[in-house]
Amino acid sequence: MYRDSNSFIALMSGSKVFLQQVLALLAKDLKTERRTREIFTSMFVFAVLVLVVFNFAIGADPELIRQVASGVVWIALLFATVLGLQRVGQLESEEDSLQGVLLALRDRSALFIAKMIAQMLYLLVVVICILPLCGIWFRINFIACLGELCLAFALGILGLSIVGTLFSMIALHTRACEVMLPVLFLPVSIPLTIAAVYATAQLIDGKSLSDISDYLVFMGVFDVVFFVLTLIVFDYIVED
Amino acid sequence: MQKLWSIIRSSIFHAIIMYVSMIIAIYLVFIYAPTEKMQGIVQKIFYFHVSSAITMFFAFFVVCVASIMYLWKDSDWWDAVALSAAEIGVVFCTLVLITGPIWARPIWGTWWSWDPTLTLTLVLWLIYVAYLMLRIEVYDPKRARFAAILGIVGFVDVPLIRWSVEKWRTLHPKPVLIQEGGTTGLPFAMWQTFVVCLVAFLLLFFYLLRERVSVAQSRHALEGLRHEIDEILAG
Amino acid sequence: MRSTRSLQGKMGEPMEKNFWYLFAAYSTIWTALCVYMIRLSQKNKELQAELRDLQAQIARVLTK
Repeated sequence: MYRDSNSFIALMSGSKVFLQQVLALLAKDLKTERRTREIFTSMFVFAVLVLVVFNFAIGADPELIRQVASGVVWIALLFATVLGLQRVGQLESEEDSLQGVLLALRDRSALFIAKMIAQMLYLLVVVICILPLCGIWFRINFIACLGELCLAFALGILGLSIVGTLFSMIALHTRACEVMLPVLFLPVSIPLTIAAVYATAQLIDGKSLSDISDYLVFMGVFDVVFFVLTLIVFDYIVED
Repeated sequence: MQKLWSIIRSSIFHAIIMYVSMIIAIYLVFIYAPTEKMQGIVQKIFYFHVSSAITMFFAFFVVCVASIMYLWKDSDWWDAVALSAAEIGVVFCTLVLITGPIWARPIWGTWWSWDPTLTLTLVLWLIYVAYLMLRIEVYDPKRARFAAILGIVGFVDVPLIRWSVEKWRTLHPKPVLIQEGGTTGLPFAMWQTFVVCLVAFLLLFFYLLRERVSVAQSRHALEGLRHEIDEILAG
Repeated sequence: MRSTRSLQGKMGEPMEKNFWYLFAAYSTIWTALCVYMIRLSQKNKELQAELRDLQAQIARVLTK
């Protein structure tokens, strides 16, 4: 209990060292990614594949496709998140860099926040890339509601990153980690999925921000709850 | 007085009152409780179905509390309680998911109607089956810790899942009900029956918990012994 | 044994069919619980066997 109050204090007071550590970790991950572009590519390609295959699976009726478009996009994002996290985990266990990083950190939740932000950024780029494709394939006019969509996607992606990072750190330690990550991640994030899909769907349908406000508030609550929860338990995950 | 207390705490006594309460519950369900006019005899499934559901929620609550206590106190007993409660919770969860459709089919005409509570139960089933999967690996101190985290996260998720599933449900047309089979406004005799069923199920839960915890603890103790012996043989 | 064939439930279905649902529900509950309790007893037996095994091992180590 003393440990997590430390994280809170560090976070709330914007402790310089803490922020510096977060940014340093983030920079390291992003630099690696910028060189290889492995993670983003795999996430993006997989998301596109999901979109295309769903298109074929659902059929040629454009009205039907339009109705399920929101769901399909978020499914693509869910699977892209799982894939991205698995790749990150794989890379890290290959290099075995986690132990070294943990020793260097005074407050270990910096690792969680850095990973979470990194995952968010990857997902953000994926979303930016696939939205135009969705607009074309599913015949959806995203431009009309772009601002509100950004908010909905931001809240959703944040939630996916938080829950995903939490479970990826747990799943890494298990034997069947490729299986455990989706098995843990998908059920727990069902509430977020539901809210995100229907918020997006209603925005596409032309509803305004106030119509979906309860979904957005819910997503915000979900994000906050899981963020706080992960901060509290993170030390238990990484300490030996 | 000591002897009386030790008798009350014993496993046999527990088994007896559990058995007796279940027999009374069965009598009340099949003979004492009036048959509901609208749904007919199938309505009697409700007594055990809802009792299982409440026991399941209670079991997962126990998992959460035991997980928190385990992380805090680092005690094997709390870990054993968490694991046992999760296992028994999954058993009751499965029962809810099976008896629900069996009840729904004659009443509503469909096996599954995405009713919010049943959907919540389904999601919980997925989460706690994942918990058991996480545990299936060989005993390892860290494994228990991860499971404890999942135990806490899973239960905290419950209100979130409930809200979202209810909201989701309002978007879908409800199935055309053949009967409006509600359980509101139960006659008193049915309430009595239900309460007794619930008590019987909770006693059953605690009995199973007790046995399962003792199995888990025996296993921990045995593994500890094995390690000691290996060390003695090696050193 | 009262004949139930003549009774009609509100839904127009013979009461007999609904008895089967009731039976199915309660049998499932009883089966699941029995399976679980049998599994527990078996685990217990395995643990007892392991315990005897270990005790034999200890005895051997001590006599060495």
